[in-house]
Amino acid sequence: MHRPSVAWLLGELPKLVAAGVLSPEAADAVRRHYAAEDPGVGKRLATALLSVLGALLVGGGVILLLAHNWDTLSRGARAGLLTVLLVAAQGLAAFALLRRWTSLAWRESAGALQVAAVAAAVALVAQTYQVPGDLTGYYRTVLLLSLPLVYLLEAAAVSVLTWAGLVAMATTWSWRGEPEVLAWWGMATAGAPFLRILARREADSWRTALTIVVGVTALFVGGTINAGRSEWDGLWVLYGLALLGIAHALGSTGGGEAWRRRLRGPAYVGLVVLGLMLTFEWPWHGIETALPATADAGIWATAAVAVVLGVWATYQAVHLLRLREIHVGVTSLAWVVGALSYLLALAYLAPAARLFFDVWLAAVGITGLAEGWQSGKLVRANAGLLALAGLAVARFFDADVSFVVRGLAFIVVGAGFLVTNLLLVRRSRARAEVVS
Amino acid sequence: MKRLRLGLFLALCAAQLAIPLAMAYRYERTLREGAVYRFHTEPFDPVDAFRGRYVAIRLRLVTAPHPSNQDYVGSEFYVVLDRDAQGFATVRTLSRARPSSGDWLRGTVSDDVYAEFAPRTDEKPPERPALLGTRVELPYDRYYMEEGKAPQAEQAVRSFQPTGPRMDVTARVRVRHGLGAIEGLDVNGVPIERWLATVPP
Repeated sequence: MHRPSVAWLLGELPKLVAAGVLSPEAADAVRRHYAAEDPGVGKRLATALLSVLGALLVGGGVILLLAHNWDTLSRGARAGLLTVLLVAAQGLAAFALLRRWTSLAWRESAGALQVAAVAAAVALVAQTYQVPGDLTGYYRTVLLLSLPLVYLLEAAAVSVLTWAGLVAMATTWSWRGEPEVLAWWGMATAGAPFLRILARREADSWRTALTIVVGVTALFVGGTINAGRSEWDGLWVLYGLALLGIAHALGSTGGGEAWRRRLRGPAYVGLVVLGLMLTFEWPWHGIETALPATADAGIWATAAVAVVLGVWATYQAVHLLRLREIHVGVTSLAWVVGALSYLLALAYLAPAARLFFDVWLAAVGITGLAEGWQSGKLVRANAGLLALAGLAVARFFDADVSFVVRGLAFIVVGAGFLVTNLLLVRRSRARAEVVS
Repeated sequence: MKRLRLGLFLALCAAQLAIPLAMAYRYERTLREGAVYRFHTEPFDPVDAFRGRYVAIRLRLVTAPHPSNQDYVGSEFYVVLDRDAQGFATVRTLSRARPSSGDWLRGTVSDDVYAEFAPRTDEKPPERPALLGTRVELPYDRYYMEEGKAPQAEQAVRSFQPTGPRMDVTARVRVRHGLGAIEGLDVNGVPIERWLATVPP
């Protein structure tokens, strides 16, 4: 089989589905056909994963060895070690770039090793010369020196490492605010286009799905930390809902590519969990003051990202609703619900703000259950049940009722799960028999 | 396209080498050519996951109390250094503008420092401790040691402090063109690495 042609054909599938030339089912059948026909895919995947793992273990080992801070090594010896380490890793990456470009395992592992070498080199200088500065500065330096490798080697492993580094950097925040937050958004913005490149070029590959899920998770965690530590009360709610909303909408549109399917599930669970949190009153208390008087550029950057992603998610949600994809459309509307609730909280109406999320979660649950029931899709029905069950449990937590009533309610919810699944399985079996 | 990619890759490799080596060069030059200042310090031991173990230190530098403390605290200044009679670093001046002469570092004005509370033996209520000045925080906050020695140093210093002989932990900092490099940490005038060898395990 000629791989580039197949890769081209698989890359064309989303466009063909969008143009109505192929149905999503037909596109899936084509994907399954070529996946089954290429027994080498699993082998290549294993080789690449093991190579990256090996490179990371070697790199991590070097970092730990240097962290011992050998007294016997002079400053000159340490500088020599640093140079040798970096040049060796760069040499391997250069070899991968020039001679092994077609080998994913080479590019991914050489890139991962080079990131580890840069991290070790910066750490070695810091410990040798007692360089002052916190972990944030360390992460910033290493990330700035590693990020371009993502594009130069087109290495998903480097991308995953930089996203992990961005999350780690966000967790080390001091309260110095603006410069650190702006640097974080700058680097996140620099890393994001690679996700788009992967999604366009290799829509169905494992590394695309993995990198996009890791990238979106990092954007959610890091961005929410940025928003949560700002002085703008409630910005974290607007940002979190916007990011998960667009992730869910993107996961639900297009031609059913692998990265979309992998993204939709975590985004949905994230939205339901965040939505459940927002059905309590505590997140809405303290949002009674609007914009902070001392809003700096870092806070404005986070707010701008929240608005852009929120508007994009809303646009996609409306598009999905027009296509009669009611469940995913309603779910992706989370940011609009959050923005309205935020306005209510600003008007000292926290109980009404939480009520919006009660209604939204109920709508998500009912539409999911109804659509899953009608189409015989177990996953969708269970997604709806998950939202409804979560809502029921959350309301029973803060309701002033006895343990007996709570216990009975839990049993009813659990039985509902079981009975619905049983009925759905029977129904799909009956349909299958009619078709055959 | 491949040439452009290779060119950019080589440029990145050059930057990856240049940045750590330039850092090393600046600190090496400061350690060789900078003027030495001694600071009283307070050590304790944390761990830095990537850069190994270090003794976290707080250099003690106190300036005269400032009349308008409100605008002052938390602000960053250029600190021109001087030495007292014992050779310890003192503040000659604080300025917002970069000094044109003298050895200087950047520091942040922080909390006020008071004299130690002295309990009174008579019936009178204790007097408020005297204000000695305002602390200037310098960014030099860690001294890396070989794994195992940093916690040992911290433990030894702590075990000596309450009842034993007086421990004087000082940092030697070389200063050149606004850059400070910690040359060493001394305990009672002896480099901490050598002093540790004399401490029973």
